[in-house]
Amino acid sequence: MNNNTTFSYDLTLRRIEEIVKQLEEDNKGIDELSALVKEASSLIKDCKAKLRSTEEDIRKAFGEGD
Amino acid sequence: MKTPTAGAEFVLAGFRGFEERLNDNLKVIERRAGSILQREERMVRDKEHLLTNLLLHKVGAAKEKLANYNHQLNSLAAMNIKMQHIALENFGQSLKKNVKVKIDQQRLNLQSLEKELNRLSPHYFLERGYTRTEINGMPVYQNQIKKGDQITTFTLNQKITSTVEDITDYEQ
Repeated sequence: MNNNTTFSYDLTLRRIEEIVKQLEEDNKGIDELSALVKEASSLIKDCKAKLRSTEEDIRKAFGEGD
Repeated sequence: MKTPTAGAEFVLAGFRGFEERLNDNLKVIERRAGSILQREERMVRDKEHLLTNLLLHKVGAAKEKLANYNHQLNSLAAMNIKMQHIALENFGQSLKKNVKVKIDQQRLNLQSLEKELNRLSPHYFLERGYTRTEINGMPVYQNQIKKGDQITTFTLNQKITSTVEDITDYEQ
């Protein structure tokens, strides 16, 4: 996951959607398409990690046993 | 009174008698006054004692009243704090639930994007045996192809460069 503290879930999600749109348009070479797919996969992992860490934060904030 | 001396002695004796009676009376008065003073002192002490008791009783009652107020205040404060705890607990649970719902929604959203990404990935169709052909780094369908052009064909594991020898349009 991106350790940068300025990580923004919303911005990352927007970038993923933008990549999906570009892939749908299919006006790029395969190398660029592969790079975009890799980038989107990596961003999806970041977003999933962010959701997990948010869940963990909530669990800690409201007590482990809840 | 035969003689003046005898007369004087008689008068003096009368004075002495009077003085003795006066002294006796003074003693009686002193005794009575002492007795009265003692009685008054006792009364004052009794009253003082009574007043002290009364005051102590009043102070005790006031203390008891204050203790009751204090107890009531403590009970009210404890009840209030307990209610605040319950309210905060409920608020926390609600917040937690809302965040969980939002996180679950985002997970579904990400899953959907991931599926879409897999479907659109070049790897997805290359691994099914299809190929992709490009010319000058762009898909062929967007470019005019002519004889002699160099095209690149991508398979799952290979990149093939070829020169166009012949072009035949599909029959409509």
